[in-house]
Amino acid sequence: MKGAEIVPLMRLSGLTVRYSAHRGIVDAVCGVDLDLMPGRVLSVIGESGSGKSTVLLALAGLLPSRARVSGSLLMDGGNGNLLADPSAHSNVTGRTVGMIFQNPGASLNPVLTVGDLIDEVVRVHRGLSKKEVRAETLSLMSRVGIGDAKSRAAAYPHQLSGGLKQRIAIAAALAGRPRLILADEPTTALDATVQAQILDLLLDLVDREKLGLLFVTHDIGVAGSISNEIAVMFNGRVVECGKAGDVTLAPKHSHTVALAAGALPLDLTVEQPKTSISALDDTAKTDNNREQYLKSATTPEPQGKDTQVQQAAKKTELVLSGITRVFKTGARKAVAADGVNLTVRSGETVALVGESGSGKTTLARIAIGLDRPDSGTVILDGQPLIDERGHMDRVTRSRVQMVFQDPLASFTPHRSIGKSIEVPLKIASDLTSRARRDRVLELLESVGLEKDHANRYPTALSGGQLQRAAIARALATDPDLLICDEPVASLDVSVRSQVLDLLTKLQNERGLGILFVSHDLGVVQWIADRTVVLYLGRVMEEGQGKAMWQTARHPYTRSLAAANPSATVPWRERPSVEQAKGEAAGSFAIPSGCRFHPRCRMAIAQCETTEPSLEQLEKGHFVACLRSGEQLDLG
Amino acid sequence: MTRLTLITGLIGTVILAALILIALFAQQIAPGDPLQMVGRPLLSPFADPRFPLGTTQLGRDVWAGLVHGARVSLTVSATAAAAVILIGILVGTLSGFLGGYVDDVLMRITEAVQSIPAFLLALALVSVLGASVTSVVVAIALSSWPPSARLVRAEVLRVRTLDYVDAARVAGRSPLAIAFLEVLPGALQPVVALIGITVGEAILVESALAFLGLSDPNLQSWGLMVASGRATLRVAPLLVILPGLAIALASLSVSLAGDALAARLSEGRRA
Amino acid sequence: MLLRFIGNRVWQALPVVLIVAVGVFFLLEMAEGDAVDAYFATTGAGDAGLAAQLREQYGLADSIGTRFLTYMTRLATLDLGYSVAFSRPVTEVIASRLPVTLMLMGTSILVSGSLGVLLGGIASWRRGRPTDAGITVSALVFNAMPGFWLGLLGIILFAVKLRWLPLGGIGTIGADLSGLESLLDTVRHLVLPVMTLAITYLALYVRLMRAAMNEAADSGWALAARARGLPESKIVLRHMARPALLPVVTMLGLKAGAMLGGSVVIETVFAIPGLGRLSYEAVTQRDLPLLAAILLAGTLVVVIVNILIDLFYRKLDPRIADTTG
Repeated sequence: MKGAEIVPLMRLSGLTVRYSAHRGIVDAVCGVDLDLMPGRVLSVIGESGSGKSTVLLALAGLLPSRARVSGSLLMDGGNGNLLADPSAHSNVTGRTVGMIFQNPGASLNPVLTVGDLIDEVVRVHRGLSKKEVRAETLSLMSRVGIGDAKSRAAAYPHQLSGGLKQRIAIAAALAGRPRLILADEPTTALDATVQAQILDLLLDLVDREKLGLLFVTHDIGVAGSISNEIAVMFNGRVVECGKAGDVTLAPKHSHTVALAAGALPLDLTVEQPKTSISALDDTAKTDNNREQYLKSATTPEPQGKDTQVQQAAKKTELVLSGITRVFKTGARKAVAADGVNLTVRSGETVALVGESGSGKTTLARIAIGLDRPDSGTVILDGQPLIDERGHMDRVTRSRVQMVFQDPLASFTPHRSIGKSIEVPLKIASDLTSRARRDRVLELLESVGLEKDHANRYPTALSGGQLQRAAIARALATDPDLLICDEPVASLDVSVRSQVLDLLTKLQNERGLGILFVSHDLGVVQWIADRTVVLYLGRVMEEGQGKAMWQTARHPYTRSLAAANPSATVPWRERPSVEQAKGEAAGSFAIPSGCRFHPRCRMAIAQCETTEPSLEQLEKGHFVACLRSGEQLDLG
Repeated sequence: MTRLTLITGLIGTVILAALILIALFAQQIAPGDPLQMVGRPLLSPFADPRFPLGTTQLGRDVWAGLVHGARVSLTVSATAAAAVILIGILVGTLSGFLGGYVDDVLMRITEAVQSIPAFLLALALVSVLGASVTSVVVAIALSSWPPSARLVRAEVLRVRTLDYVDAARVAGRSPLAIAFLEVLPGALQPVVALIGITVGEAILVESALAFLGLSDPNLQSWGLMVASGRATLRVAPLLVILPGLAIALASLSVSLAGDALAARLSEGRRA
Repeated sequence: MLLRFIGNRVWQALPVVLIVAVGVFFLLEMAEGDAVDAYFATTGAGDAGLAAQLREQYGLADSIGTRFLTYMTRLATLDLGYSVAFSRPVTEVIASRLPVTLMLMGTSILVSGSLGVLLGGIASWRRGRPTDAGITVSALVFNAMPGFWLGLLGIILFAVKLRWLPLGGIGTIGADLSGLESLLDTVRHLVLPVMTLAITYLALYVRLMRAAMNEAADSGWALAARARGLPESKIVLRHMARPALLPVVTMLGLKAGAMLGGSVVIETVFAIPGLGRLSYEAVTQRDLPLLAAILLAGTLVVVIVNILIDLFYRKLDPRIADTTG
């Protein structure tokens, strides 16, 4: 074998994957070439249906037998074409090539302990004795950063958190001593802070052990941040390929441009990542960057938010105060909200940010009366949203409406789109059926859909079209407030910006107040006037404007920001001090004192016992941290 | 739908249609009372053109018995299955929607009934109510409803949590309108899959009760024919084989047709 | 933890048994005529004085409330009354008949479940091919056959024509066998009834196992196991079949009652002196208290089998232990 520097770990050329479908032959992948050197990261990005996962499965030799594969694949200096030799290919799988998948929960057999699971792979690939096998398993587990490997090995997958499960999957992938790791969206299903830890782990393996990493993702931010090279796929072809910086900063192909535009990166200013807060607090400059970024990305620039809307006279205010909500399942209690205060007014967008289990969706449901708090009040313009008998009157109902996360699930499957939009109209207004139908068409037009869409059924529309229809339905009763629960999370990146533009446009036209629930900081920074950060049911920080993320004071907020990969900041150069440790305890076991303290890098003894209250630092900026008064040491 | 389901479904539907026609026109196809002694006993098939399938030990026409048996078997099983599914829908819907104590009580009762071996319960019911077609229907209905009730309840609970139901609440729909216009249409679809299975099983239970002599003694049914054929098992096995074949054919055709129907519907739901 | 689980399950089963007990009482109340009437009907006697005396003796003359209370207190002490047809206490009659039925039912559940797993697994392995279609369709065909008829066919073929197996009963009458010979004799007698009962329920397990294996084959963890380079045999056995067993085991529990019910006709066809045949005898002799007691006993058997199956399930699926405590 020649020097590893010259011989690529993997050389794929002319990969074509065909399926015979009902109507002739479908090319899932067409003429794809990829090269990967040891110690390098190559990302393949694309939207759903672009063929990126098919490429990965072809590399691992895992395509179903009805797929017809052609092209050539050389691996680790070998000179046989693996695509032409299935048995040689299957020898490579698990040994030279290790693979990890998107959903760590689904990739681990639920009825085996994780130790047994890794043991099995070790046993198959390495002729070790029974005792050596377990020792190797434990060493693999500690190599992927699992402390207390011995006791963890006896756990079943369902007993572990998402991050730990993904670490186990990585350990199992490493068990055959691979030189190349194929990763299929390995962090997409994880929370932001956990994603950061897994990315750290993968890059560490690449750097220390000179592994090659092929990383498939839809997220141009992650790709740009961690990769040496990026290949952009569209309709089964690689449409752009090059150095990571070139592809993200100066995209040439229109599809790359669309991807970049749709992925709204969290902007923390790129020049000096290690500066202090005061130096970071340069909003004018960041806004400039933002504008430039958006201009380069050809999408119509969103209209600036005008707080002085025309309908200023009709100022609506929804006030949630002291909201506590506990879900009981058997003897276990899950705390979804714990004394949360929240206000949404017409014309403003309030973002509710948090990881899974933070209680953000519960709060959104309480804000619209779909759920009732155990204690606390929800007041709409001085009147309780729901009366004592649990009833919500027609007028109040029509004033607050909602857009759901999964647009397909939010439409009744046996009813046409037009009829679905008509439902709230029928209830809230006294219009004749003719007038209602006219109104439906009007609404469809206002969200950029055709008249014809009214007669179609939900499954006949794309995700983006459905979400537009869902917005039309929410606007049918001419509401003052809109609750949006992750409205773009289930959409492809290139469609996201269109839906967000539509929301801001409608807000400006109608003076809507929007409560926007999201886990995507880039989207939040772009759309929010005010941002509320939730952690395990409690508000950690609340801040105003787009600069919120640069001036953030709470360690949790800062770790969220630090965990957010930006295409323009190489991952290895990111300030790692800000990272939160471990994973959230889960809403079943809220830690004492400050609930973030077990994960906090700044925690002091007092944090374990004293629960901090939300204090105002400056106008509109609230923080719940015992150390918020101190100048933060950013190391 | 796979090709196999399509083919077997078509075969099932054709056989079922033929059986229904035979049941409807039993009197025209084989006039008279099938229990009447009409010929010499134990004639073998084709021996006498008047009795194409021969006669029984009591000189009854086997062909006439099979034809009239179709009527009893299909009527009883269809009625019983309809009752099973209706009880299931009623209990499941109430349980799923009302929740709380109602749900607790209904589910405990469902569990209790499901714990009694169904055939034993049917047996006990028939022996208490007396051997008649009506009591057979009642017995099958009362002993076999729990699975359908549980299915409907589970579906109601599942559909209730879907986003489109929340969307309807946000739109201001009343709980009743949500139940009938949003939840039930979705929740009842899987019940279709139950129709074939339930009717098929009802056919088998009816025949077993008749075999044990617990059906109406004044009606010729397939189960009864097998039972009376037992006495001459060694000399005339066909007297057992033919009516049993009829039962198997009826039950099979119903479940095949039901499978295909369910597959068709679940495909329609996805498209 | 295990003891607590069993305790919990028994506690959960109590209301079920109680509801059945109450239901059975009212079922008996619905019946026209009582055991004394039935006794007179069979013996042909009809002395009103004797009837009244017997009714007094058996507590049949009391008001419904009193009778209900007596019934429930007796039930609590496992006193199920006196069988007029057998002239013995009901408990004794049932106890003498139960073991055979348990053996028949238990073996049938095992045979049906394991055959179903095997055939369903093979069908899934040859998904979409003739073997798959053959297994699926023939399982459906057997499922549509009435058990009593299949049993009679078995008798015609294997006992009358081929003379391989006995016609019925549970042991050769008059043969003084011991040890292994006696066991073999019992097995020979059980082959036909067990196979008949097992085969009529086979389709359920075949279908379930096939569907579960297909799902497991498409699952993330089977794909991941392939990506780890495991040999096909390990993937199929550990990563597909193991998880696919779960729904089959659940169904075995759900169908325990059906199996017991099915044994009524099977025992009648094969002249096996078990609980099923006993219920048939109770019906024909209108011994309703006996029938009621059989219903209760049958329910208890089903409840116990279900607890056992839950225990087995808990061993198979580690996720259960964590959610049910």
